[in-house]
Amino acid sequence: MIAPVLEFDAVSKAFGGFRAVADMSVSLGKGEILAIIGPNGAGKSTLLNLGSGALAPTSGDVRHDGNSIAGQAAHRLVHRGIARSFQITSIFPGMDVAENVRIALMARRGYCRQFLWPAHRLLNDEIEALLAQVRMAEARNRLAGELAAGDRKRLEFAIALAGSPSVILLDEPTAGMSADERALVVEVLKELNERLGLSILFTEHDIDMVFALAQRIVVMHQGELIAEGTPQQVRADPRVREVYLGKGHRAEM
Amino acid sequence: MQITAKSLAGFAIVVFILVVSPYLTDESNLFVLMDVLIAILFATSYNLVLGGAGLLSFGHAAYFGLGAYTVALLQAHLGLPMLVGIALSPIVAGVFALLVALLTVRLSGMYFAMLTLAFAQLIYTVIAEWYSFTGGDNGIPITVPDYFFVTAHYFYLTLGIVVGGVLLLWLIGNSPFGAALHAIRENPQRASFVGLNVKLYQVAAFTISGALSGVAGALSGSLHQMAFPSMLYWTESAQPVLMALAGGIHAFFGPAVGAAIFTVLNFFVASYAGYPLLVFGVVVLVLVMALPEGVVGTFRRWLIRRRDAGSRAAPASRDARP
Repeated sequence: MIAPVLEFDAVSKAFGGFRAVADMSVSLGKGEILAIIGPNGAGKSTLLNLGSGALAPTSGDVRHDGNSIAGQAAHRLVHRGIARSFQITSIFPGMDVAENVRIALMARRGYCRQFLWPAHRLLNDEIEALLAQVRMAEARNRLAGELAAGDRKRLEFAIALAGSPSVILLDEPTAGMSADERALVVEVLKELNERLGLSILFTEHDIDMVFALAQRIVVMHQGELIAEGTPQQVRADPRVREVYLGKGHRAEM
Repeated sequence: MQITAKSLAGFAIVVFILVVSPYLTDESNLFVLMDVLIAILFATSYNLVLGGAGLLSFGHAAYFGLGAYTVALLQAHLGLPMLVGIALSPIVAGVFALLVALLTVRLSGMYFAMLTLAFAQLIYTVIAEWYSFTGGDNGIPITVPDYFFVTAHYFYLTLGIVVGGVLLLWLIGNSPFGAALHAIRENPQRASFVGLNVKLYQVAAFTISGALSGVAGALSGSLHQMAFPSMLYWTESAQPVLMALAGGIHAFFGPAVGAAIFTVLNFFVASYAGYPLLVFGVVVLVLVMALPEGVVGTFRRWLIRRRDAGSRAAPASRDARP
């Protein structure tokens, strides 16, 4: 077993009486690509929120490189090297593409406490490199709010990748994308994983995307882990079939 | 960039005209001009919170008034000269702004506005009631040194401090710190997930804004040779809000233009009619309904549209920097 970079240890999250995540233990290995799948409301996004500092667990622990990060503020976790994207793409719509990446880079470097020197020429080479990584170099002067859905999503990757995180949590990274864009995202993520050893935890509804990218899959249902294993094992698991088929999801699985 | 260069050139021209104005106009106009300059510093400082951090503060009169009281109280109790008071005003106003910010940034929107208003009223009440220390509602006189009794001399002092303060705010707005505020205003969630401590930046912006509002108040108190509790009263807090909205909160020089319009209009209305705030309210209503981005914001949009139409640039290209 590879050393875990992000561990959920018997984590639960309750909203009032509703347990969105119940006693989940999952660990993301260093350099691993792990998919979390499950029907709507299974608790996938909640799990990502627990891992990225958006939510504090009701019980259990979350560890990064062996240190507890449960309940720590999101901005602190970013500086530990945990980045994320959101199901509803979260960018700075009133800034141009380059400025979106620049603010992320400046924040990671701690430049944002500088009051007096101008920001607008900083870090252009790195912005260029990050945008090239998500194949968006030619869009650098466009207003982020005017981009198409797939481009916004890729810009959000560039923002998340700024400052070389060691872990990235992606909530439905290809939602709303065309097949071509999806293929591109798979390619980009695989490349980052191979070249930089980036550990990736992602949720996804598109099963083709999951099998194209994931090295290991965790299946959640009603806040609990119901199956875990390689794509082949998960595909063959009868409980997974029942959950998916029973809900009318992805019958071709 | 092009528009930034143009607005800076415009700024330089305005400063030049102001520098020569004591030779061009008489004393009574200089007094109005000084009120305008002070209002410009107040509104531009204020806008670091509203346009910059995206927070609606409704208590900035407190920091403005604290600036004036810094000068007056240091003089009355310690015998320190006016200039020392002006120099210390940003520290005193800044410390109060910091304390209030620490207690208020947890809230957002209307709750934040109401709480800043409540703290401002608290400070107002203490100053208005504490007769032995502040003179209560009699206010405290400020003695101006002989040199600054010459109107032109005080005018240059005001001009220098206001231009310095506005340039400082301009640098802040264009710095990485300013970019962080912009990010927080646009999308606080994403801002914290790129590693920005949102509340910390909001507190910092509020503190700087309060400190420079204090400088404006110190200049105002010294100009009128008096610190009055009414300078801190909540209706005064409406002024920078209205000035900023009228000029445009997303253009750097918007609040300054709004402040100039407000102050000049106020002067004429106060001279010829009885209800200055009523008239100004109507003007703001018209401006906000007809020009929702303020005078400067609307003008800038017109410039951009004209340039894009002229160059047939790509529809998405843009350069909306003030």
